[in-house]
Amino acid sequence: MAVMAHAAIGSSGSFMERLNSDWHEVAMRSFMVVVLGHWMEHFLQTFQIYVLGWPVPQARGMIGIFFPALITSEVLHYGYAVVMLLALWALRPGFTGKQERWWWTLALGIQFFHHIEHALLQVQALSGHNLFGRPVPTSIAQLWVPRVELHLFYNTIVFVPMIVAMYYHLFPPETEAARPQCSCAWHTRSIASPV
Amino acid sequence: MTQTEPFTMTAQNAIRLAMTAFTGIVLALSAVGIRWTSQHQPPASAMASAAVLGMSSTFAIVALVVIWRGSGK
Repeated sequence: MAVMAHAAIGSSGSFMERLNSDWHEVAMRSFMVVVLGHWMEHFLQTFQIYVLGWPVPQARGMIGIFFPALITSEVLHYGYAVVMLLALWALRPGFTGKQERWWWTLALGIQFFHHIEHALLQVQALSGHNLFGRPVPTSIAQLWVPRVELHLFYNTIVFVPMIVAMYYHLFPPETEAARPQCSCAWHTRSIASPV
Repeated sequence: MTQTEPFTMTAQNAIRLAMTAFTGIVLALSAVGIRWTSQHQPPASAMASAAVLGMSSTFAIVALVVIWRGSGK
């Protein structure tokens, strides 16, 4: 039976040290709820367009139906991209295993580019001058890919490596030498062979 | 002769199944998305949309293979 194994966890240290040790589990769970909720909003938006046949401007996901400003405000989109980038960066030291760290870093790298795209949109919204002579703020990839599909794509390819990283973080491979600093991992190592 | 381990519902397999369900959603959404965009967007945009929707599906499938193959504990 799998049990929650708690590695040596300190109750002192800097904010970042505590975030990546004794607070890592709670922080990760909270972050995953937010990220999954955000992805679901993008999923619902595309579902409304592709399946329900709603016009694109009317397809606002779930929360956007009640608060349309959430969809139209570039500040909120950019703010979420920044929060996501900061969380991916701040929680990364807690991923001590080689494989989990690799997948988390991949998500961080993709989110960095995603954030640049939102920064471009934000600058255009603030300045009132749109790039490429477009009638609306336009990011680089948006020159080729429509916005709805593009941002579903970005959020999916950030979320997927996060899931794989989380999987390895919860169930570290037996070959993984690094010892976790947090309580996230589910395993029996501490019972079978105390390290 | 090789013996296959029976499938048991552990936390690890529950997460694998959740990821499988997620991949199914991404694949289904991409499939209807490619169909919709081909009918409602200009050809160049529809092709670009199909490319990113296809890449999303590929990412999800790769992740699925990784976590089902991943040894874990």
